[in-house]
Amino acid sequence: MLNCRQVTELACARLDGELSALRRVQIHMHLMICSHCRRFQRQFKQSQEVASALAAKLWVAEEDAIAQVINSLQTQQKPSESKPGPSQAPPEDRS
Amino acid sequence: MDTIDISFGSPLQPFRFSQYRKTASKPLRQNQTEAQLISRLQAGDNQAFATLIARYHQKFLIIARSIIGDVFAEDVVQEAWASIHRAIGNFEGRSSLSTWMIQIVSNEARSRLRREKRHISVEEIETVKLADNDPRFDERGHWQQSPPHWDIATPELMLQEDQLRRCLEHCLSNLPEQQKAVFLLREIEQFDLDNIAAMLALSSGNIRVLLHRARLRLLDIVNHYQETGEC
Repeated sequence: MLNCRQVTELACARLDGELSALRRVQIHMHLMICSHCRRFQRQFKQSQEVASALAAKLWVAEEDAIAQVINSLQTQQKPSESKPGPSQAPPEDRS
Repeated sequence: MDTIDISFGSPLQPFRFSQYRKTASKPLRQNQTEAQLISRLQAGDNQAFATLIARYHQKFLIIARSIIGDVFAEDVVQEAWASIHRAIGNFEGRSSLSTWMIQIVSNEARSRLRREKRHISVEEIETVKLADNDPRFDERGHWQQSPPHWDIATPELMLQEDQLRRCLEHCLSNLPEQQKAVFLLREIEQFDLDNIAAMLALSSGNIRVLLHRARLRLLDIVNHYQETGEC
């Protein structure tokens, strides 16, 4: 039988769907009898949902940064306009 | 600054930031499918490329900083954008666009790291471990006391709390670079952990611990706010 500390340490792997069937059953059995762990697991999941939603909006480029990238691309492109083509091969797009 | 020339050598086409700022943080599906975006990019649509920069530039910086540190990250990301711009016409869609682009950023950062290794001191990646003694538990591994009760009990309600949002945004901005990159790649880009390990040149074990630490830190912020109403 897993104790509360073990169940808590497995919360991340549980969220990421990385647990074996045996582990999932062990955690399920523990959660049936432990209200503290049920609360922790619920709060852990909810806090990630909130943080992820905020991060998706937070980590967007500022206008100045976008302008800088674009200006730099234009500057880099001008000398090579007469002879286009990558100077460095990009990685193959394979999954 | 309202407009900028993003013609990249084609006839001047003044561009208004406000046209894409509203859509930059939304998932692609809400605005257009990835296939439609790729078609526009491959047709040389500069507005589509600017939208791409708005959506990914900050994320690329986070990834680059976690690999090579702050000093060279901007250079690396600029080089990556140049590679993406040159190569987008040849993108065949065998992976998602974001996977392909992040791979370019990762390759660029790791290549730069190899070149600059003698000149920079990148924070060494220690093998990260979870704490052995967690004060929340007694010697038998049981909770010392119950996790705190939350008055604001749903994600929807939490997102309506301005002060809590500010606390979490501050925490997200100040996460250690590696934790931030792992959280970004897992929670927003939804890569699997082994892929993240390859992209950041870290072991899978370290990725798991970094993610666990970031998530616990964010949970602590919410716990503290629920108990005190402060960050």
